[in-house]
Amino acid sequence: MSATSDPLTPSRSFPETQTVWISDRLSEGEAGLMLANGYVMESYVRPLSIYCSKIGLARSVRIDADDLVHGFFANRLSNSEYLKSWLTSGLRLRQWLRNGLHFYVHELRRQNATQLGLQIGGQALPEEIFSEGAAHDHEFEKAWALAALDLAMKETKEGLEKRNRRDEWEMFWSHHVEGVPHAIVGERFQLSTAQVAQRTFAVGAQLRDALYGILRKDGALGSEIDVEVRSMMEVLHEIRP
Amino acid sequence: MKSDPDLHRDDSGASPAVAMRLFCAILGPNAHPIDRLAARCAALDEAQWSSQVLAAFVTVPKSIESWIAWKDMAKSGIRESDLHTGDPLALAAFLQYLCAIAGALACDGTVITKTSTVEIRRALNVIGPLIEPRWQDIFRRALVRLDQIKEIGLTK
Repeated sequence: MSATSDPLTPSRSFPETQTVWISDRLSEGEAGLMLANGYVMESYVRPLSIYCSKIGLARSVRIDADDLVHGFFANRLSNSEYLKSWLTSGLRLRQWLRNGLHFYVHELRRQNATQLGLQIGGQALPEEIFSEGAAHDHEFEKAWALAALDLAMKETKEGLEKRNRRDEWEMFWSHHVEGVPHAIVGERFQLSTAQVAQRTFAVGAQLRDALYGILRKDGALGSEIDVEVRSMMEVLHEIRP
Repeated sequence: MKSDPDLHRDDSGASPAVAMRLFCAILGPNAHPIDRLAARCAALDEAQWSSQVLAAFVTVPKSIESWIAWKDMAKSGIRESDLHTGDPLALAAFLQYLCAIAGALACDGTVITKTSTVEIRRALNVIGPLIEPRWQDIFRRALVRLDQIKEIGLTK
């Protein structure tokens, strides 16, 4: 058995790519905008809603967290320029949406105060608005990491089911999540060890591609993808069962 | 855990460990050994795993020489290709290897590896909370020693 020179050393990254899916959709007019909006709502409602609950943002305007996020999407995404503004912001889409949510809540507070006949001081500075959530960055990133992984799993499983290969997901899960050796998985599915290894590898690649696509839509460049994945793992290390 | 979990709505508390294993599968051979080890240690059904692995240290070494001997023994059981596929035996050896590094640091501040202090710190921070209390304490003391090394370095 040969010893490794340094077991702590990390290795290479993902290939380069610069496609921005939302940018492409926005260039396709009304139909593309609807697709982009649908994707944004489906992908980000959960992490934003969890974030709102965790930091008490929804409570501060006396609205249920899910309703608050849906209201935010309805308000902002109805403006066809909203996502275009993100493209020039230099921010990840998730960060852009989180900042936007804070502005939206600030607007709601002002509206509520006006309705109650209360005076509110001058226009808040963006830094003041963002500072409210800055201490909870970590919560948002955790929620985002789990949401992105959930979406990637869903996409992968749907792809396999369409090709009548759901069994391959079960093989992948048994081996990678439950830690069952390929040979034992093979006995269960009446396949050889090599066949199971090949199938679980292929599913892993599909899951990676799905997550890769989600991160790219969030604005990550190809060269940043593995850094993103590692930072997603990093925030999960903070979660203790 | 079922194979179609909702990672957000899972109440078992297993989601983070499952997510880490999935991320390791996604990264494939590029997954960092520390993350693979963390995924293994964090899984609820593996709670006893790290305790069994560390039971190999029947008595916790008291001298640097003993810690180095432990480190060398653990390192001989780590084959890189196995570590990158998440092989349990390789991960077990890797955990013992980390514990030896932590033990030496906690003992008298000796760094018995050429690995950077940044990497050692990350390993101690990530793995420390996932193992049994007596080792958590050793990892904590090792981190204190690492901080002292950094401070000494700054004053030179």
